[in-house]
Amino acid sequence: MSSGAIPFALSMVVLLIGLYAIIAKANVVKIIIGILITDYAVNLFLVLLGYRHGGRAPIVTKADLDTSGGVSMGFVNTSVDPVPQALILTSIVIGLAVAAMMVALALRLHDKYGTFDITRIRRLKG
Amino acid sequence: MTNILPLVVALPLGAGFLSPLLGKSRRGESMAALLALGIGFANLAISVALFTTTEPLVYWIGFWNAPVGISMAVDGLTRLLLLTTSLVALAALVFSIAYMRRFTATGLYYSLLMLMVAGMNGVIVTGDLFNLYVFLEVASISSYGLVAFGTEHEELEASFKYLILGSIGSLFILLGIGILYNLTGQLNMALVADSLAGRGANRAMTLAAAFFLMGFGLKAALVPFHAWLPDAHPSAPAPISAMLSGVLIKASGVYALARIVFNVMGPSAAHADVLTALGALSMVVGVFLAVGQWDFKRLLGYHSISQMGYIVLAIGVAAQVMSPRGSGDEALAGLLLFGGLFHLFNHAAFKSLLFLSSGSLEQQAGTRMLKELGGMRRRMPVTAFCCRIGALSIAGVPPFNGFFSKLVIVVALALAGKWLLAALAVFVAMMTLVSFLKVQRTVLEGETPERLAGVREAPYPMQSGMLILATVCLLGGPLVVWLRGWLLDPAAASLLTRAAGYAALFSPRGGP
Amino acid sequence: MNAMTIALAIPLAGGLLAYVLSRKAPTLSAVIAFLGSLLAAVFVAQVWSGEANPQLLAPLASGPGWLARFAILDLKAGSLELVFRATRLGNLGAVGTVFFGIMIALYSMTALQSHPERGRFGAFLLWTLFGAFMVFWADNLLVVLLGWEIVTLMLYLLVNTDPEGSRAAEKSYGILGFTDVGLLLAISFLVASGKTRGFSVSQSTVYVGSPGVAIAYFLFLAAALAKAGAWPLHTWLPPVAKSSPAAVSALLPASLDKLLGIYLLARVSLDLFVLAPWMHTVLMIIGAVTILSAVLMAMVQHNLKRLFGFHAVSQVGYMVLGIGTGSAVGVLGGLFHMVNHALYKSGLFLVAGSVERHAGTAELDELGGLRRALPWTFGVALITAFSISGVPPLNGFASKWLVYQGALAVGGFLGPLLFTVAVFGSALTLASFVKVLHSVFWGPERQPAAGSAKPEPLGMLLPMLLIATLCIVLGVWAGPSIGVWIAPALEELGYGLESPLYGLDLERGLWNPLFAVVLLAGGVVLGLLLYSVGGTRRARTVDPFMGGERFGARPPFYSGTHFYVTIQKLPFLGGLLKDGEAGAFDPYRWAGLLGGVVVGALRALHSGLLNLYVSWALLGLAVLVLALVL
Repeated sequence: MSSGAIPFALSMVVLLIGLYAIIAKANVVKIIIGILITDYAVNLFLVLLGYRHGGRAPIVTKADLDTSGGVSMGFVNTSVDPVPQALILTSIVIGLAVAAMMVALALRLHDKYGTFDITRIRRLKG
Repeated sequence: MTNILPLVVALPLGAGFLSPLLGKSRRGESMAALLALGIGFANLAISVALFTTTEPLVYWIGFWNAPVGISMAVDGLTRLLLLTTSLVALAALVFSIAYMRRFTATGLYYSLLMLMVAGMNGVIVTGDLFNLYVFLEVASISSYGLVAFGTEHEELEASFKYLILGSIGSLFILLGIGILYNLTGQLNMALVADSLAGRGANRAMTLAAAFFLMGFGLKAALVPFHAWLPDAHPSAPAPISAMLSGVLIKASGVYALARIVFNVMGPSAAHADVLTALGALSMVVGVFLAVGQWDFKRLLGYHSISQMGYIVLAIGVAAQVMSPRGSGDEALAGLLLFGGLFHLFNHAAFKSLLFLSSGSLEQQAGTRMLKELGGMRRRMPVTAFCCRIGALSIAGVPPFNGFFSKLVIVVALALAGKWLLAALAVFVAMMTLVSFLKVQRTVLEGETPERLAGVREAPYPMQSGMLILATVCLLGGPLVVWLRGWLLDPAAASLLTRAAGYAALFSPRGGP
Repeated sequence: MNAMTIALAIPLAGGLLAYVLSRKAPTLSAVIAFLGSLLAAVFVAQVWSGEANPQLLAPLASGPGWLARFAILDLKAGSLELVFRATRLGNLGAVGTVFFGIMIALYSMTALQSHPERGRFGAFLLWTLFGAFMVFWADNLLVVLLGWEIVTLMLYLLVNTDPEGSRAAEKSYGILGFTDVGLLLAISFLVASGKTRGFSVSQSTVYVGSPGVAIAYFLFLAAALAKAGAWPLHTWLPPVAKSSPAAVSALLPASLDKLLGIYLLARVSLDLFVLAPWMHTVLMIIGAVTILSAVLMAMVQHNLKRLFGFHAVSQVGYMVLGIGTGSAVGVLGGLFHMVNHALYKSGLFLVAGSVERHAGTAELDELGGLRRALPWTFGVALITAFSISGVPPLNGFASKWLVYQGALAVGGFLGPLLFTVAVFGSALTLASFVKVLHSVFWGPERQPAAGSAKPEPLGMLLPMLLIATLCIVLGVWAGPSIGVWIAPALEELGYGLESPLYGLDLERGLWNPLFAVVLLAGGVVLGLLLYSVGGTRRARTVDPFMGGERFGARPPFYSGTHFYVTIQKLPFLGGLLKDGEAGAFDPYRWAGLLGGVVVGALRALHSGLLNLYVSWALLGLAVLVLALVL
């Protein structure tokens, strides 16, 4: 495995940890944490896609402009990809909404069922 | 024409944020309902207006062109889905006026409903992969909220399960999008298609395909990713059940899946086999589970899984025909796609109709358990008429619309040489009929239990909501030749163009 | 527009009108049903005579009529198009359909006068006619299927007009619907594998060569047999007969379902497919089993309508047997029996309706002595009962006689066996009807529990008498009747008949009905003479007594049902009959039990445990990845 692949592999490990929590844990709160971990794993994966070893922030300054007023090739060749960063910003916001929703539901569930044990929250079956 | 395109998202989105501001007074809530209804009509008007031309339309948001800008792209398939969505949404909205009186905070209900419509319309019209994900989440999160709207034990439990499973689905979709971005450096679907078309199959693409199939398969409730649906769909208020089963699983599941498999990645034999297997499995497992149900709405939920199976099966076999290993018979693939998409349209109509009538029964008779109902045909003639139409349509009885789509699917499967699948499709049609015979016997026919002697017909808005959809079911069959010409064949054609055709139509270089 | 188009359009439009009016003006709907079928009859008659005068059907043959060729769905290998063609066999069915439509519409106007759903009944009756015409005339397999399923749906809705009928209706649709979709599968197979020319009926000939084609044939066969009500797919019929209004039973299970089922059987077995010899044997055995099993079940019934239902099954056996022989005389017998059965069985159901209206019940144990209260009904019952039992010179005998000839002509070991079964079945039918006649009409009169206790009104009597008259006419003038109604269809199917008497004068026997009538009449006259001369009038009468003990003033009542209790005590047969009543041989019940096991297992898997659901999804993903990579 090349060294560049290690971060990707690690993000997948994080993902698996999250999935493990969702499958194996009976506590609603732990399941929620599992979802959040998987969320972060995917965000990490996305941002790694745009990573460039030794790259610079994708912010254009005056120094990066070439003579015709466009962005110089030097900047393009050294900066990291800005698109994944934009993506994960959106994704984090969505994750936040989902997290809020989950927590709210978990609280209401606790009100109704008096437990956080998902194995006891199963009126719907069959 | 192109300029009205963003309105299909903007209008409901705006209404969604405006509704809560109207206040919690009765007046405010009526205003919210009125606003939502207005948006429903506007939506339908826009979807119909899009049929004035058959040309593909592209709108660049903020007039930023590719590769930076985000596009909205309209072709035959988009038009079909938009029309279906807005039709069902309108019926659900009309139905809601009377049905939602028993709930509090209906302003928030309309707000969430509008957000869901915005999300669905966004998924359908967007030409950008990441934007697809965002709209998918908008629709999904609002649907989680709507499922929990009753805030009782079952609703909360269903919503939570739906939320957890839905999040996992979204997660893998996002992963898949990330992989495709890494491969191509593009997010615009046409550009991704263009870029992928050049290269052969590789591991990364395969993995992305698996993630998409799982993620969108989960949104479409295909077996084995289906477990949330029979909990979530019945727990929502009836008009929402109608929206979820009628259109949401199609827009965010089948539509997105078909679009990505056919128009972005290009149908490969492996995709096709997986789609076929998922479809066949859903069809059979769903119907068996449905037959054993005694809760009307839960029964309908399982039937949604089964009927989605038909659609995915037809699309999967079409992909098989079009894949490099298939015969490449465009006419046959077109027939299969026509059958699948027709069934998609029909299922939206009759399943929404059935959910609305179940809501009407629940509202008037106070129960949705089959064993506690009976003789409703005499007590609630309009609801019973609509329920019967829906039941006969989904069971594939002529002359209703469901018969014709199942007919096309079975004949097309036979033409593709898939005898076993054709036999399976026929068997499932029969099981569907058996299950709906039970529904008709226990709900519509027989003696009325004494407890229900005073039951009356539902109020007019609910009746009109049902009658809109019943008309579609009634006329969909006899008018099939006409529907096919302007609605379904163009939709099938846009999937038939494969990735290369889609890229040529919508990528900024080839397009406008 | 031509006659056929109009004949199709009238019941469709009339049904729509009757349905719309059914809530507000149910009487008007019933009248529309009657007038609509009368009007349709005019055009059906034109189509029939167009057979002789092709000018009338010219637009159909050449195809410019808008309904004559109208493609609805292009399905690549052919298309679903409304293309209709008058055939002699189809015309026979259409004439029968419209005749029974008129009869039942007339009967039901009075019989269902106080029925809350008589309006809907009218609408469904017209739509039934529409569906039946589609089956009889369509030259497109899918249109045949369309009409076929419309009739199934109408049966379901008609049976449901009675709140008690919902379970029977469900069962009937369960079985018929199953065979209907089987038909769709068979059609798709034939067309997709290029065995037929598109969906055309008239231009296709299918040779049974491969197992696939044989399966397709058996799917067609299943649909035909289920509709007609033959073993083993008959189990829907007796419950339907029992729990629906008599008019419904007389319309569908008794007459139209027979016409449709046997039409399809003949069309498929003798025209569309070219059968292998063993298939004929299968058909004949199905026929024989049907005759015997159903008549035995009929003997132990206690409900008049349910008993008739079993006979409606048993008689189908003769038709299947006749057509199964594949010989001219057998097919002639089968088709003739189809017509005759439709007549006498609908007559019998109308009788049952009349009895039920009078006495308020159809339970044999509660009926008795109605010959005085309902003399006309009694007369009709006598004629139709003798006819179904194959008593000469009535029509039932004529057609059964032809079927016997066909069975004998099979030869070998099988022929005489089939003949024996057929004759034995006929004898048992007679035995069973002796019980019916005794229980209902003879014996001391019993007080009706409920019901009108009035004699039958003219509106009900007229169709009954007409049908009874036809039973006599078709029996006594069997030869000419065959010549007019059956022979053209037979010739069309490729069977020439040499004899001018149309097969009644055969090498193995001769049956001259007119001559026989004279002999029979002579016998009756002789009997009457002996009766009056022989001094039987002077017989001594005493009060009934038993073991020296006198009964009270009122003589004891013996219900005819007791006569056959012995059968239920026979060592082997009794057990079989008991199991049969409990549904042990009912495929519907077994399918339900089997399905229940699968459903139970699948439902147990959905335990409501979220972790389990998530693991399914992830396992599914793992399988997907593996499937795609490999």
